[in-house]
Amino acid sequence: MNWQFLKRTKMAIFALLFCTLSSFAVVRDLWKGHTRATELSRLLSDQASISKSIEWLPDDPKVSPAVEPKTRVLLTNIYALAWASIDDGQVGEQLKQSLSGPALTQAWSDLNDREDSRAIVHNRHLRHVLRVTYYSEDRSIVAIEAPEILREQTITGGSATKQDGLSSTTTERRSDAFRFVMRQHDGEWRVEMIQKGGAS
Amino acid sequence: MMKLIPHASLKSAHTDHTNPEGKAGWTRLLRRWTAGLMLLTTLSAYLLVGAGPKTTAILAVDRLPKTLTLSIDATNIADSERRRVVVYVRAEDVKANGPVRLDIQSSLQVSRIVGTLRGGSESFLIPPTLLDVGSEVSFSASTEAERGSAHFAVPAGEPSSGVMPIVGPRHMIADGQHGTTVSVLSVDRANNALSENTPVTLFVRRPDGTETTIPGSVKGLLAGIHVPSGTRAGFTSIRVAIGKSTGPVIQVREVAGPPVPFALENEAVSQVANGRSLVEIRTARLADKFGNIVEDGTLVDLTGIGPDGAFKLTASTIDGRAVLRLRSPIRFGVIEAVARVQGVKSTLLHIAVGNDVAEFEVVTKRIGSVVNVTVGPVTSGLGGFVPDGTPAVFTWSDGQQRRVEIRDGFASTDLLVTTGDRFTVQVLGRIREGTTL
Repeated sequence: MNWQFLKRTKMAIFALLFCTLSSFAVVRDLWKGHTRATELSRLLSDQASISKSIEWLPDDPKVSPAVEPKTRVLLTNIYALAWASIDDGQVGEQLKQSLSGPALTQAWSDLNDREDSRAIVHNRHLRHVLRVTYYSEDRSIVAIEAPEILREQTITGGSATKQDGLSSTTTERRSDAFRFVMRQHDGEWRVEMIQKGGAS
Repeated sequence: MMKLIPHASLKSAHTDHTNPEGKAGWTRLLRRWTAGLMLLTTLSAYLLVGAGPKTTAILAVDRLPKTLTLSIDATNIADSERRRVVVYVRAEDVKANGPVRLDIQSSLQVSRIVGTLRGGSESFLIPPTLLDVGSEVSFSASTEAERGSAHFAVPAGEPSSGVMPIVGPRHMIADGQHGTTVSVLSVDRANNALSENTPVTLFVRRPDGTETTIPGSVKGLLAGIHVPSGTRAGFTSIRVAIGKSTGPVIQVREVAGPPVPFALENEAVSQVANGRSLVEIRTARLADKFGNIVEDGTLVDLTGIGPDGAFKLTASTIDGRAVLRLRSPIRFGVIEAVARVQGVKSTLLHIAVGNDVAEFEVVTKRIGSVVNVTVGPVTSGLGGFVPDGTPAVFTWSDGQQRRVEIRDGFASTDLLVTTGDRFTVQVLGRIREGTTL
């Protein structure tokens, strides 16, 4: 009688354990899916917001062939996605959708940088003024200069802490010049190089 | 000491709304809840908004009357390993003491380090890892009341070995007018784009063996250099050199342009209209104005008109020539054909097609109301029977037609006809007339 009882109890415990673990796995997967969907949704929203802030200046007169309107739309979307992905350091995999080559390496190393001095930056993109300076004859490489990228940056962290007697977070508007190279890989445009400064 | 509240009194205070005392208690409770909610709301608002300014300093130059002056002392700039950069921060007030932060912004990275103003100044030795960026670095120094900024250009290092040129298009027409672009996206050891105006040299070897160098320079992160085509078809080899660094040799194919107007040829001495043999038409060897033979596989479109009507054929070239085979018409006459290659027209070709069927006999026999018509022997130009299956088409004056295949040189048919009907028999290009009389 006791043996039967013990056996049933053991089975019941195993069943309960199995149900609990299964439920946990289901909930965890659902939560993961929800988190990814939220990340993607936020990324697309940021991309749309940056796209709206982009203003194209007339191309450099030396650019030949002319950039096709459809190509410019693609460039705009990928450019905005690249900034959104860089800003949102949580979605590292997403970087590969919009960055390649040296720019990807640069962004990866920035994401993985664990130095104390590294600050956390939140950008609000206000204005991106872009100009095409080079378009290769086979239409696979574009060089872009950005004489003005106006952002509102909120910087937190780094070595500055409240204990130093300084605010740990600062917000300021800054305008920077940048240069970019975008390249077509298997029919998809990606930002190949990003460099601050130097645009005339 | 704990005081126990009777369960009944709790119940009356919460649920007995008709009792004046109970109603007053309910109102009091409501007031307390409202007060609590207001307190919570105020606290939240304070935490969200009120506490914000204490941790967030909105820095704007117009609100900051005092400024910090930044000066940069850099040595061994070109040498990434021995590079030493010190940023000096000086306040307007020479007696100022207190913390100062320095933000260092490169292309994608922002770092923040903190120092202390002593006697109105502080110096920061910038860690070399923060300067291994090959671009402009912005320094922003700030205290709670003052701010200043400066920029510093960090030159890129020597290009890494293995300069990879991106060449496109990989085919160009060897006419001296077309060309290709070599885009050089070279980086230094730290993955930075090369500095502006870095000289880039292309070494080009043409299919005829001549070698040229084309100079270029880095503009806007890359060097885009146009390589014009030559006038000899073949492979052009391109190598890029930046200083001592070089990379693989890339080959670009130079191909012939559109051919010069060409002739069509038909070598057969005589063509016969037998509906089964092939009329072979070939192009002359197609070459452009520089004598380059067109690529194998170049499409040749042949259009024309013959005794049987219009026709269109397509063929591709092998070793500069295309051979087009047209089925011989069944009627004799003249075939006119013209070919087009890349918009270039050939000369007009005329081919005379002779009759392949000799005169034949038509024998009519009337058996009652049935008429039997037999044709034959039907022979070809050489005197032998036309091939079995060659059609003999009988057409009566009322428009009726009957098609009979010839076997062993003869074909016959029976028909109910009225006396005196006329008819024709056609075998390929030969037509005979007859009557059922």
